[in-house]
Amino acid sequence: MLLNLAIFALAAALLAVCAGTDLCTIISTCISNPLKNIMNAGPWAVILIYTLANLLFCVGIHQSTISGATVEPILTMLIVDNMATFAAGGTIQPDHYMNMQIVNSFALIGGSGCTLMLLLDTLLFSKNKASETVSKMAILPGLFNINEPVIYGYPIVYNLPLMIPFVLLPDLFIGITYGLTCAGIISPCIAQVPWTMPPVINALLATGFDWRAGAWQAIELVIGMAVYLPFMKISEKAIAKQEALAE
Amino acid sequence: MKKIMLCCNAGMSTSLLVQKMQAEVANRGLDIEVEARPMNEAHDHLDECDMLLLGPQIGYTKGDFEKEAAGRFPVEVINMVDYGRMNAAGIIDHCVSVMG
Repeated sequence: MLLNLAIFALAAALLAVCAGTDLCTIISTCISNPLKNIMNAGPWAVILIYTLANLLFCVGIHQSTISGATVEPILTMLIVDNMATFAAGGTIQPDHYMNMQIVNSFALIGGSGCTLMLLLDTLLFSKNKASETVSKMAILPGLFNINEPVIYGYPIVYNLPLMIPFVLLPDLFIGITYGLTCAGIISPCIAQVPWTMPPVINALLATGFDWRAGAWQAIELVIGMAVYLPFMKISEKAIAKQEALAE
Repeated sequence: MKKIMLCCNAGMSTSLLVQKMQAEVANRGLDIEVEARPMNEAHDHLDECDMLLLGPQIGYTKGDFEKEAAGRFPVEVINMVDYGRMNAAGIIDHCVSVMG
């Protein structure tokens, strides 16, 4: 421990004297800024990471383990920058359109994989008793974007038909929301809202009460329900077959 | 009084389970206390528990926790389906059989 402190103190002193800089600035210039630029060259980097993270969630590893270590620090920096810019009265530049809030508000509706749509589909259209029971239990936490009960209880884990919309929907929403922001149809996110905030209110708070963002979230709910519905039916047929075989 | 500690990422999904488990424990009249903690806090409170249950989404941390436990108490990953369906009765049965 003392050795660590000594080494870093020496490094800091050398940097300050010889280069007029410090370790934080170097990390910022050499690591964070290039990463920020990659994040902002389009939604693809973020979409890639979340695809991988959600795929791994389908085998039981929590998605934030992957995305939290890789992209979330940078994305969070971006939204914090936006908050400062907005507070100072400036406009958000295109290189700050992709940020943590786009993911948290528009791609995590009901939790990773947008499971709120699956819950709504189940409660409205399902004929499977076990799924209905799980959904009734999971709808309240689901409204606040907590979805482990659904993921492990439905289950979505190791359930191929449901894995497809689980991974596709967040990607789709990140991409479309980013596109809408670039096209100026919805305002860029200017506030960091806790990820547990329910949908629609979430988008309104994040974009400074832009009604179009709230409307887009409501449309996302409908799109999500439409996408989940056929996969839910396939999954139910498979579960019914399994139960029939078990008897 | 035996103490079971539940652990998950942020402490939110396990807190749902904890309430159910506490109700189940009260129903059966067992002398057990159940508590939920987020992963980061759990390391500071390991001395207090008699059994550690990990949410399946942080099952990969089992090795680390077992090292810290050093044999003082059992460390187990909660079964996925029991966790998802909040099967408090099943989980309590299992804990009782492990703790003795």
